[in-house]
Amino acid sequence: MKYVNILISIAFVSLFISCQDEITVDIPDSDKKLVVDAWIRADTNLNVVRLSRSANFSENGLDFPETNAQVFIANENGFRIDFVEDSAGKYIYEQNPNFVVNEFYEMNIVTNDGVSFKSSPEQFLEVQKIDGLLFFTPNFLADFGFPDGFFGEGVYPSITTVEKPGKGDFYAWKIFINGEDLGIGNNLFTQTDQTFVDGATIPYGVFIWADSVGIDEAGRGDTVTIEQMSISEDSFDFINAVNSQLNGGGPFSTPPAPVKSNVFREDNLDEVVLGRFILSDSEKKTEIVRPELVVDNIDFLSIP
Amino acid sequence: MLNEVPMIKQVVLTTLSLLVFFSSGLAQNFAISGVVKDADGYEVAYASVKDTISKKGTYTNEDGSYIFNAPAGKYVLEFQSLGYAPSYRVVFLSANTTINIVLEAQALELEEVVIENNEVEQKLNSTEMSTEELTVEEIKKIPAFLGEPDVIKSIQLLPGVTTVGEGATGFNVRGGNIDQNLILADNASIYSSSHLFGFFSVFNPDAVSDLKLYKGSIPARFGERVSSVLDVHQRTGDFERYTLDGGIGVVSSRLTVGGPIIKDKASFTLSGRRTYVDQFFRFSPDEAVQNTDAFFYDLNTKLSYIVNENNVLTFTGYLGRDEFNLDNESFVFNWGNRFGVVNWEHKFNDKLKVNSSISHTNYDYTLGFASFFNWTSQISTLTEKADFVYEANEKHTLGFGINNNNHHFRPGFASPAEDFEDSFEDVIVPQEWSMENGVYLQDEMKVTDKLTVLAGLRFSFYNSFGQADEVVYEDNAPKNAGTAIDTLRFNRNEVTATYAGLEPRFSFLYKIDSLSSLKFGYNRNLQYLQLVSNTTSGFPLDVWKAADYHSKPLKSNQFAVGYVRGLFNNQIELTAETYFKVLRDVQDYKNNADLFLNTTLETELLEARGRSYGLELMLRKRKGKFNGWLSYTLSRTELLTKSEFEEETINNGNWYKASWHKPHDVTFVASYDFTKRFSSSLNFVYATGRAITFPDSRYEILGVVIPNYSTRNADRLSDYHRLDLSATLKSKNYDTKKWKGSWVLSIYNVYARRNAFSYTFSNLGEGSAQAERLSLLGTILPSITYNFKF
Repeated sequence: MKYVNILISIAFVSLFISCQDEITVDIPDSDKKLVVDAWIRADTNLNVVRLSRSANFSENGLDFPETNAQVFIANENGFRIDFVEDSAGKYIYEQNPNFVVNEFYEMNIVTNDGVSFKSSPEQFLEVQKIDGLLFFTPNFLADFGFPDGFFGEGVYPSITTVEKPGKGDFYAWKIFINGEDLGIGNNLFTQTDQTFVDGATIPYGVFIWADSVGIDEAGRGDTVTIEQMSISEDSFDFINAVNSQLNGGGPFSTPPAPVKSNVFREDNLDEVVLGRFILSDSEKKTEIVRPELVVDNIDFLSIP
Repeated sequence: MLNEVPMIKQVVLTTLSLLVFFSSGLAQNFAISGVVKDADGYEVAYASVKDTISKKGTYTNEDGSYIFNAPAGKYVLEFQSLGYAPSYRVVFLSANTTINIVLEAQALELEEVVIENNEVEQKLNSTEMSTEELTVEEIKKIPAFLGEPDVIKSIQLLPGVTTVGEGATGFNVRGGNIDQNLILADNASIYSSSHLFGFFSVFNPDAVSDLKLYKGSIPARFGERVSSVLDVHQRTGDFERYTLDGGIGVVSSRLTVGGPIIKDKASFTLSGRRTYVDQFFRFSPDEAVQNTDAFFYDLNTKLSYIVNENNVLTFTGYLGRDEFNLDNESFVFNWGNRFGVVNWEHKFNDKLKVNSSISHTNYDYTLGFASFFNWTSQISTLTEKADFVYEANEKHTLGFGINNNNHHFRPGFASPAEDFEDSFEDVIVPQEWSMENGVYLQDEMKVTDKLTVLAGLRFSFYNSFGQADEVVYEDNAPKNAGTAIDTLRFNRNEVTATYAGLEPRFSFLYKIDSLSSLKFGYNRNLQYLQLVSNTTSGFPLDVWKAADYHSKPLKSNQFAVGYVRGLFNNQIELTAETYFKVLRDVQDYKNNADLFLNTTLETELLEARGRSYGLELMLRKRKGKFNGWLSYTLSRTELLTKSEFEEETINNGNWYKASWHKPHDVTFVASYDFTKRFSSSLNFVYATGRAITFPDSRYEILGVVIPNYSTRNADRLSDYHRLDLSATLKSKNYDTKKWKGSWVLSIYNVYARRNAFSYTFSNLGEGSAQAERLSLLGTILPSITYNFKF
């Protein structure tokens, strides 16, 4: 839909009649809601859960940590790992959690005032390896079919991977440049399901496209890491919904709406909780942006 | 059930055959027939055609045509309509005769004459209520966006009709969504009424004669939609002389030619229109922009053939398309409608006549990256219908008929281009086949001199057919991938779902005195097709969904009470109407629904209840040097989506406002003829901002700050208001010269109001709520157009 929005913009701009300006809207304060930021990964010895309270628009900043809470992940097979508060609202677990593939896990939180929150069970799913990492140039992408000028200068990472056949798998990718986390990639197939690629070997790569991920020319020689993470379908829907909130409100956007958390207050299911408990296995691939990995024209497609 | 389709078609064919049979020899009198037009070549509807000797006569139809049967003899016919000088013809009738009349305008004398049979009187004496009429002349007087007179934009100025914003597709009538309007052009339905995302409508003003909008009390002959019927009549070609009409504007031009094929027997019109903004792209220094096409065009034609005094055949055709091709078609996006309809008007005798038609309409779009993938979608409908009118006696006028719609939807088909065939598979949203039938009977009964009753009953019957795989979900569970337990396979032509219902329609007219009438109306409507659209503004990529195994038809019950009063010798009409509408099974969407190429749409759809009520007031002066209207609408439109399951509940099960809800709406439209050559028009529109959802707080997860939206549509945009002006200067001796030219200067959005179309909240880390306000028309828009007629 992004292409369509760009097209519409061109149509309107061509008429020189539309305009955008910034206004201030008066919004009354609302209840402070618990926010759970917990993307737990299996391949690390440092997992972090951040607990906070939502911020009203009348308040400056977002620093409203939820302190002195008990945080642990457990399941019915006796698994349990406890997080400890490292700093205000930041709870860490410093060992590998050793999740078992396909098992379900629940996050538990007891706040300082004794209120218990719990997540619905989240399944730990295996992930596929990244076989290769390439970097596309705007020139290649134009040959590929994107309009000229659609992409700014720079190179755009792309991975080669094999989608596991037989069921609908869902993925998210993170991109790191020289170790800096650029966040979740957002592209045509970033979060994918079996409809498109079930079982297919993706011959020319999953193209990781996000507005912020173009690596400019000066960045050649940088170290780029792509992290491929398995996620559940519900988490996939959650990330999509979060993305649509960020872009919500436009004439051709879906109307903004509450994004449902999988964490709930045990004695009051109607209380709104924000954020999500996400479980992922992950695989990483790191390459330096060097000439032999940069794809500059469509002739690349003829490589057997 | 397999045999139902051919059986119903057989009924239609049999009926048509019977018409042919009955048509052979029932005519006993000679007929005087023809078309009444004005000096500009437009048909004059409801003009009186009266023999001044016997005082007998008739009125012209909506397309200006009339048939007057009488025995041989001498007649002095008077042709008269408000605003025109009467015209007379002496006829010695000994054979069927065609008389086409051109009425000359008589605007200046209007205020001096006693006015009879005008629109106000018609409204006072008609059971019709909740209807609005506009002629193309009225539409052309309204200041136009970029100088292009527009049918849809014009009706949005009428009370009870709104839009979510400038440049939005479609229109909302009395709280109905944009898919609840049946849009007809000469009996053919149109699925998408917009060009350029809603900035222009598909109706070329030069190809239109007049229109009528039914907002309620919808006659029993109309079904298919629950909120309104927009009945547009295409212009009939002149039977005597060739005509040429057109306009040259800043963004588009249009040309219409018409005239006789066989003098007094057959005529044609052919109209074309195209925008040419993209031609300016050729001067861009950017090669990609140079190679970009962005335009729309449409072609209209109408062929008319007066077979004899009792039979008139017409064919109307339309082809329109929006084209966006970026950078030598590396990105392609196009969409459009096309339809063809054959209408046959047949008069059995003075009392019984029929209008039957067969039409095919199609809407499709394509979106694609030329070297990557293509996505197409298509909807088409074949319709056969026959509408009979039987004027039994002075007290009863009967209407009855049948119609049959065969729908075929291909909602979505996405396929990879050659280089990517191994990368992903085709995505095919299953095709849908369905059939919708209706029969109706209505009687307009003149009970007393003061009381007239229109009672109608329509029965609609609907089937959806396979081939289809319908997912079965657990009982007492929300529909989602996790609750799917089975799949039912329906073979081709096997019935997957059947729905039927009675649709009663009543209207009562009580004429209080010669200047005022009281009216009451009730109508129940069923709608078997709904638009799947979860965006604020309708979009060309939206797809229609037919009722099926999972989706029930939409139902509506509307009550209305109205008061009509003629003021100042019936020159001004005052109407006041209040209405209450209740809707069931309105299609709504789960929060954050994913509709894109979704093969199990039922997991994202919800069936809501709706209610809408309001008051509409209008003062209207139709003729004279000064004319126009002032209207005010007070309304409320709400939806309710409640379920025992949270994911199928919106707003905690409480009523929430529809996104097109605008409680206050004021419109002032005025036109003044300063001289015969120079006139000026004005529009002023004020409306409360539409309902939207604001965030109530913000929070950070996944490294980004996210607004938290809570109560759906609890807030609203800033108020909307806009002033438009136009001035028209006609060429010297406009009324007498063959070549008639006129310059129209329009100024749209005179004081450059930045009316908000949407807010997007941004800068969420700040200590206040900042939003980007998008104004699709954020500036003053002057334009100049040269119109001509020959």
